[in-house]
Amino acid sequence: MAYMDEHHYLLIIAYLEGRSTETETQYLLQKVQEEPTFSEAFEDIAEIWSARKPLPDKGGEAHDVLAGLNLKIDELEPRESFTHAPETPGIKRTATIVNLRRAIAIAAALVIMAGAFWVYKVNRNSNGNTGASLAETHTGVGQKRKIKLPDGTEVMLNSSSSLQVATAFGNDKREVYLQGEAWFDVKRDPQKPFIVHTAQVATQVLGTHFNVSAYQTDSNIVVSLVQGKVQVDMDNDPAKRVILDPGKQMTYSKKSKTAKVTEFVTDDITGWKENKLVFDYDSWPDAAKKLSRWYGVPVELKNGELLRCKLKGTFDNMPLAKVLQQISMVSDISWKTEDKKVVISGKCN
Amino acid sequence: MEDIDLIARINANDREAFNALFLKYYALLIDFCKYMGAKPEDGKDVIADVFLDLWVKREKLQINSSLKSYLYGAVRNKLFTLSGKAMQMQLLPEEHAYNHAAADELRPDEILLRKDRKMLIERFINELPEQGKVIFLMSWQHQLDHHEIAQILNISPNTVKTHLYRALNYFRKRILFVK
Repeated sequence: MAYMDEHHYLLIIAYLEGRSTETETQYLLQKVQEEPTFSEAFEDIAEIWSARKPLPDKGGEAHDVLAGLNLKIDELEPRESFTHAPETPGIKRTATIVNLRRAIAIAAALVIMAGAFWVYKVNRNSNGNTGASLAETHTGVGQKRKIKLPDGTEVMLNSSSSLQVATAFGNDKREVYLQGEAWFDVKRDPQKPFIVHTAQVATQVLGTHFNVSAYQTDSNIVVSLVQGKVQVDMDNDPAKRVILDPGKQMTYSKKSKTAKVTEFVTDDITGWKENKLVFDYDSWPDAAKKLSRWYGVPVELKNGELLRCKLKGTFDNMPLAKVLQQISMVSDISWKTEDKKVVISGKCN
Repeated sequence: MEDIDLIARINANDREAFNALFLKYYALLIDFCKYMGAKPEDGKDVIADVFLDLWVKREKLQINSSLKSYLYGAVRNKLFTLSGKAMQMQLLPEEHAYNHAAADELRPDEILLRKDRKMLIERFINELPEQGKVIFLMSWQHQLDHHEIAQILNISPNTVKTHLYRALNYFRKRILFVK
């Protein structure tokens, strides 16, 4: 057998892979006809190349890994609208809930589970009859929507939010996935825990009234409880556990990863349901985001000093201009409209 | 759909394109992880991580070379980070290369196998030294050209050429005895 040089081997491979240029192809064909040793090498390599087997089919595994990846991405950055991985029969999304068993044992009525690092796993469903597709409701900017779930639970979805309901909803658990803000009036059913999943916090209840605000762009996650008792776990750290009483709310800071519990006025938290725009000592950056979600216009803060101010107030069903006018009457801000966005400047007073 | 179109759509926030890209490359990349000696679970994690990065960076994603090389290269880097070692590809002198294969003897089972070229070639591949095997498989099974392989493995194109050259000569020599 006559050895050839590296260059010619690579040319033959390129030809077999369909990567060779027209000139190279002509050159190879000529050599094959004229040189028996080259022809022999060409045949050997062609034979080796034709022995290539297709890669094993990894379709099922690929979909599993992709489903897990999509959940991870959704946790990192909730989207305006959900589009999940292609549907794979026999796969069910299940949340791994840290300390769930213990939590259920402790809190007979209501349990809120929270974890800054929430791990979702995709488990193969043994009986293989549960699809992964989720029914979805989505609200645009300035929209609100009331949803009635199959178990009788009522959900009011605030603007720029999404709620997905698992197809397995009600089988043994009632699981929904929330991005943004919603008010829940959960039909009591101790046999079937109701779980609201958000990016960092999962709230588990058996039946209650509560509000969850978990906009990805906001700096805090707020769980406000109206009735019952709740337990909140954060960062998977039992030492940080908090028990909430009615009328109390937990504010979890994504930045410091700490939570504080404060009293709240029900109207401040649930006012949005009655079309009341409420600022409850919101920082101006958060207030600006709220305004832009509420009215569907980008709101920009021009003055750095504003970033440190807080805002308190309720605006009942008012147009944006009126809201800004009222705020400017009590504080030192001015605003203007530029390129279809609102620019606010001023300072704290 | 071509990679370039998928990337353009991913740049524009298209999750369906992202999913399609993942499914297009998963089987190849998991196979590549296997060549690189990764455990199957590590391979899955690493591939998911690479795609997670790709999505997070989607808006400023600039892939100068081919997307394929980018994905393989990123998987390789993550595997090395995971195993905590910076593996160096080096070309050993040829006499080190095929010491576990006796090329001039035909074993009885090889005679039985002579009809089954595919199985035979698979065996020859396993007889290659570790790096030669990875490079040959990247060329043969994964259809990467020698520039792409060099870029992914962070070695010179000449080293890739030499490995391919040695592997092919070795196969030809082995096949000759089976013919």
